[in-house]
Amino acid sequence: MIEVDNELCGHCGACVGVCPVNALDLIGYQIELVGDCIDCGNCIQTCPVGAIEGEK
Amino acid sequence: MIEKDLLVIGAGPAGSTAAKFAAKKGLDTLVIEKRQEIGTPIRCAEGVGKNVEEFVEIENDFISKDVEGAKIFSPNQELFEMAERAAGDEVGYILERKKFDQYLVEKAIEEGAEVKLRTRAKDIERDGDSIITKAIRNGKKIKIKSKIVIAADGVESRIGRLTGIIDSLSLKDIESCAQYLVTGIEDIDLDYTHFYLGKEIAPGGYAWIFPKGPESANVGLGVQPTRASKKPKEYLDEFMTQLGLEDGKIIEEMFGGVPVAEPLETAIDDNIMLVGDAARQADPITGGGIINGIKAGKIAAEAAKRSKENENYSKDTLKYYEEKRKQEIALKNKRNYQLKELFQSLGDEKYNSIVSSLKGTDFEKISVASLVSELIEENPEIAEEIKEII
Ligand SMILES: Cc1cc2nc3c(=O)[nH]c(=O)nc-3n(C[C@H](O)[C@H](O)[C@H](O)COP(=O)(O)OP(=O)(O)OC[C@H]3O[C@@H](n4cnc5c(N)ncnc54)[C@H](O)[C@@H]3O)c2cc1C
Repeated sequence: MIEVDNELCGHCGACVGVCPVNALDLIGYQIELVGDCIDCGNCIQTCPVGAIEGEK
Repeated sequence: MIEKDLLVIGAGPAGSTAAKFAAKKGLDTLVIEKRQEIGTPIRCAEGVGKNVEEFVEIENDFISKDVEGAKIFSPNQELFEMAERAAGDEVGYILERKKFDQYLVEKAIEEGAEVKLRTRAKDIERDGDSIITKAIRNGKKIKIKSKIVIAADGVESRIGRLTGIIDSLSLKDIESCAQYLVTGIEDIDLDYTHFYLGKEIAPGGYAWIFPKGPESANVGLGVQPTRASKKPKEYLDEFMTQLGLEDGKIIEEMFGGVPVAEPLETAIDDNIMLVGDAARQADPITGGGIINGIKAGKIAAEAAKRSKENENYSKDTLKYYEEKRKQEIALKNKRNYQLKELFQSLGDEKYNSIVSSLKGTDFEKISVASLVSELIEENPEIAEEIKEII
């Protein structure tokens, strides 16, 4: 499972676009987990500021 | 339930252009945009080629800067310059993107499109020969029934994926970017755009300075996540130091992802078309997606009109969009995707030798095409690959 630091987050939505299971959404100024995370790590690796942490 | 001929999801350049032309052609058109303000936060370095004039009437209001050319720096800091004419589509204006996006939406409204902000598409399902989009508007659930949906929801493109037309972006097909709007700049020639190559600066991408005014510029970079060992923001802070801007006056911080992907085989399904970044239409080499988004929006609007005339909203009647966007966008993007893959595989030494072989060239006189043949002549090791691509 990932955790998003929404104050570090730049609200750009890059993580949403690389999530293979469409589990993320940018809602207002929050990245929210709206589906089942599979811990692939794509969002963690893509985030331009390092606002996402998790298993991988 | 709201009923419309056409629902456009996302009010970036692609979506608002689609809405403008569709409304003009007589389609009852609604645009929904999840943000509360069109165009912000911006996620863009704001550069467009002058060919933007073919699509948009240029108003001073949204032009920050008319640039004279491009300066390209190799990893070992050698420089070559391209005059605007030679750089062609890649150099031209630096926009005030927020105003530009708002202008495009105003044009759509003038043609009769309706726009709802703070309205986020959440789900989408087919219903007979129509399509129903479930959205959240100001916190409340609403439903919109339309004959056609144009998904222009940008790099996130949840809608494209919910319909099964596209998959998520692979990490090698996205550039992860960070950018500062810096003011009080003194020692950089702000009549030019500047590009910096090299794996220490921006692995798998490049860094840029795009001038915005006499003392201000967008300073940013994009990296390919699989090649980067740090976060774009960390690379950017180092780049700022390298430019002597570590004490620079930053008045805006911005982050974003750009698709640098192969063109889609299929960007449509029954009742739906994808346009702009949602259809991965940004140029894979430059990451520029504004003009391609505008082109796609215009084509999609024509396809929508044709299917309304035929009262048939199936994939078959939307083929017009597929064929036209392949000619006008995908053909070049496909070549540029292959070139991107090749360039990314080259080491810094290769960039150094390419830049140094180009140095003596008279860029007032040459075109991008002759640039490529120059490249081939001077760098025989990669000649075969480049020839194959072109
Ligand atoms: C750092 C950076 C620098 C760039 N520099 C340049 C450049 O110099 N020149 C250039 O040409 N291009 C540049 N680009 C690319 C360019 O910004 C995009 O290609 C362009 O914005 C794509 O336009 P679009 O209309 O497809 O999508 P966008 O402009 O991204 O618009 C999509 C819209 O859809 C909305 N949306 C998303 N999901 C939903 C939903 N579910 N419901 C409702 N609304 C939704 C979003 O809020 C957004 O407003 C850059 C990109 C980045 C990240």
